Amino acid sequence: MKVTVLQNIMNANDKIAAKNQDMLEQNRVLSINVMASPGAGKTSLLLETIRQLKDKFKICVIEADIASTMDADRIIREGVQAVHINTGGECHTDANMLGAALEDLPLKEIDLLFLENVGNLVCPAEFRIGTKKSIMLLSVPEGDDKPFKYPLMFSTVDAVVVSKMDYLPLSDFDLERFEKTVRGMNPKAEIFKVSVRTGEGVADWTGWLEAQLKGI
Amino acid sequence: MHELSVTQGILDMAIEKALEAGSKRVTDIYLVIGDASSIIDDCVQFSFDFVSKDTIAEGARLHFQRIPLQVRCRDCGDVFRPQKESWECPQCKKWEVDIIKGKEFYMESIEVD
Repeated sequence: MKVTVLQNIMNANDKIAAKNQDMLEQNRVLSINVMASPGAGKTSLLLETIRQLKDKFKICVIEADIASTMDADRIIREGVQAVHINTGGECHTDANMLGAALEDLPLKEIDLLFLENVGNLVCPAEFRIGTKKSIMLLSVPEGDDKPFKYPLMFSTVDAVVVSKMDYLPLSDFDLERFEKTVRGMNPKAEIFKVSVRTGEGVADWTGWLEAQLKGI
Repeated sequence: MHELSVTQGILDMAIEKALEAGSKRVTDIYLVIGDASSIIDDCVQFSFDFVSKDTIAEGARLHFQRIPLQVRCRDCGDVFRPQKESWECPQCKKWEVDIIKGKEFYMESIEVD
């Protein structure tokens, strides 16, 4: 006998994501899921963001890593609270992992919460976790063809940060073509061109964050 | 590569639906998965055989219907399959497109005894 189901396989995850979202919104936390390949500069961007904004806002970072606590340690050295989630070998953070981390945080006191996802352009895009915004980084050395390889990621994020812009003169990364591709797939996405090393574009990025914080 | 966690969700859903229908055995599970998903069919079946042991879905066969990526031009409305390194509309040459197929990830039906 055939039984019709027609249900999204991610249903159970999405229900928990909705719960996370409610909890974050009730506590007026601006939550941001930060995704990118390993080595694209997620932690460096967060460290620079913390330096720029920590006097104005209470910031907290959840670091999801397959194994080490290195990234969380770097955040803590900037004087900001960081929580480490060990994903136990999983390639992504799911809603359940974020939910468990949220339970241990003083959400009422937090203005800005980053979830630094596992370095990966594929799987994190498939799991809703309940953050208000999701952003991704694409570093110049990775190449301008990546939107075609990872369309799910590029077409769903709220912002794309092109990182390591100081490498641009050394590479054949076609910035114009890249921007045209991303805007074509995802017209709502903001694009920021940033180098943490030179400081290029950092103010545009933090300005966007401050504007989002006002709307919370 | 997260077939194991996804497979547990497939198993739970199939068992729930079978019990709701008053049946005691799931023999087949029909899944619809878009090509934008990273899921690999063989890995899911492999994980499924492992997690379904000693359940009413043990030994069930998984069937995958794959949906290719398809986009629609926001300018002229043409629907097409994008090329590997270009999503340019073949009709009007614009680059603005919406993904309309290829993101599917659902259970279509199950076959039960």
